Amino acid sequence: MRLRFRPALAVIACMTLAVTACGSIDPGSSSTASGGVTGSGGPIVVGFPADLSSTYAYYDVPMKEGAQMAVDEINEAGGVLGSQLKLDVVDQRNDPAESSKVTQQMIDDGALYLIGSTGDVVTAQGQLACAAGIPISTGDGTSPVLVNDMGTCAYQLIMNDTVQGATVAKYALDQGYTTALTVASPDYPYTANLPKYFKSIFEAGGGKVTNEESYKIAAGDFSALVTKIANVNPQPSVIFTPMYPPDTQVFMKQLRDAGVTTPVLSTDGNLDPSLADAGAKAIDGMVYSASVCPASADPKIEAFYTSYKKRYGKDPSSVVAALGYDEIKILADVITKSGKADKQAIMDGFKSVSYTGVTGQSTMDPDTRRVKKAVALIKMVKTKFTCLPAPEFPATLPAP
Amino acid sequence: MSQFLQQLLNGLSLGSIYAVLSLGLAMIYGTLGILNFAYGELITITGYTMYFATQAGLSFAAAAALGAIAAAVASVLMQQLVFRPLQRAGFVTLLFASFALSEVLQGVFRQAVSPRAKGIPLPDALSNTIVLGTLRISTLTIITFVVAIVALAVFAVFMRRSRAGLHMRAAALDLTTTRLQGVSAGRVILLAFALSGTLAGIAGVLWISRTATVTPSTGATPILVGFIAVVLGGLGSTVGAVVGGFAFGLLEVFLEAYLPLGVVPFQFAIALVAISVLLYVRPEGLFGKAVEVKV
Repeated sequence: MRLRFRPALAVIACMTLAVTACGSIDPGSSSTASGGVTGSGGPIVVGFPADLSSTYAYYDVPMKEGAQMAVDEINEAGGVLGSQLKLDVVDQRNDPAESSKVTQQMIDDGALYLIGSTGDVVTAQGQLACAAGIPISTGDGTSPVLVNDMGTCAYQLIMNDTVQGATVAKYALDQGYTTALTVASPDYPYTANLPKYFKSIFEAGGGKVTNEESYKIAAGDFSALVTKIANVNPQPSVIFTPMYPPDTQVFMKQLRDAGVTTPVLSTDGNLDPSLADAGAKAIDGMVYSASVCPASADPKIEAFYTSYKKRYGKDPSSVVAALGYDEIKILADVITKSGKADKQAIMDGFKSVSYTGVTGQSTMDPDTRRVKKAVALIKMVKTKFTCLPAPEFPATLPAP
Repeated sequence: MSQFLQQLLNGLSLGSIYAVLSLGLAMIYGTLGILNFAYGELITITGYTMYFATQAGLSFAAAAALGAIAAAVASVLMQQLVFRPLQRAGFVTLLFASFALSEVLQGVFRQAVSPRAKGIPLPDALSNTIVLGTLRISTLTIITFVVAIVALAVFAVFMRRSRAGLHMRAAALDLTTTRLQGVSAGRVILLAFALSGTLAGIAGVLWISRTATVTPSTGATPILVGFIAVVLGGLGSTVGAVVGGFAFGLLEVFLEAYLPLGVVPFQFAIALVAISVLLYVRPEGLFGKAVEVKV
């Protein structure tokens, strides 16, 4: 009898543990959105159906941290129009069904505004929000097509990929690079489209993309690809790829081991401390765009980190927290200026956003519903993250 | 021609990691009939052990040794805590249990360590390059190949020359009869998991030496390739697993190198189709034995 029960018990234990592990273990983030009274006296509820435990926890966890800090600061200063802000964060585990369920629950419970999560599920979140007439952001999502895919209530409050592609292409032209090799991956829109944006501006400025290569995300080995690049004759002046860690470390190391010394340009996914562990030989001189410079290279971000640590006793998970912080500050600014905590008033207010935050100046383009926000350029000097002079917002952007 | 030779070296180096990995998987399947999907997490455990060891100031070599040991210990713990209580359960139950275990471990890594990549500083010795005519061979490529071949050779000698190896080979043929001969099944199974975990640890060290980082899902790609290699070589055949590992490594590299740009994204799909065709012609795989079932 005992033997018959043991397998069943073990399986149940396994499954229980699996479910527990996949769910959020953050007690502060598992509450359901409730009490979304949007009038005077009740809290103004901001919902964030975030991925706190799966693929995009990488971005959504620091977004949550920064947003919470802004909420705490605003509430301590008396709230917005006399109402306290309340941030409700629920872990949707990057599961499309769970994400839609959580988002709908937040809407039903009276959320006035939603922060969209990172990843593909944000499109459905936007469609649900727009059906209910509730404004939503793209969160940390940088794809320029998101706002249209999500609906007319969606706004992008951070820089987008066309700006990154254009800025990096302009930098390449300014350095005198005349030919480029791009490495794209069709696995995600981010890695598929950024090389196109780069090419568009680079070639419009007189450069020429002579070779286009492809890679598989998380392949773990790029030796075949770098051997192909090493045999390109003549070598291009520069290589552009939107690859990000942990792929970047493998690619850069194998590229330099293969004897390729061509400069490499990339994009914001590389603003990650683990990049430095590829070693100076691999990453020295690499330049990439990002929303902001790291704390060690930008006094404003450093001050944000200091303030965060003073309040919570630890650093935020990453510099992405500054974006979450600015998003809530922009929201509070819009509500204050409109004079009422109303979803339509917020959408109207977003159309004329002009706000200088920790992460820089954001000016909304009401036609595209994307902010015009310049990116930072970061250069690896051996293994040190350094900030290049702040580039201007590009004069021309590629079509999304 | 030199590019072909360079790609051949790339394929052999990558394939040697897959071969070590596949061998560990095949050993468990051959002995117990378990397809262990949590095997990839042993690589992740190796990576995190190396990360914490290097953070504590240990040398890369010491961290690598600790990583391999941690994988072996974790493999034994998997057997004791998950598979042993399920020893009378069927194949599907064991398969789902290994799936669940894989999910649990990935969840633990995300929550207890970080969802972000953790970097592992590599010694300069792994970044040197040897130039032979038109060929450039990185020391890591050579080290990977040599370590993998030595590991495979040591394993082969152990299995053929030692009493414990004889017991394991007997258990792979027929566990029940082996027990009737007085061999402790528990000890054989434990040894199989320990050896399998050690092989995963060695493959993990070689893999981490390429990636220089560890994430909660580090084991996902290698485990997928490992399973394909095991099926290609023939389920239960250790020789087949090794050949399958090398074959898939070469296939992956040459498809990446010589497919037209527009087709490269389908390289994995093309590799799987090619293997499916082979399995259609030879369902038992390259080295598997056809089993006749009385119906």
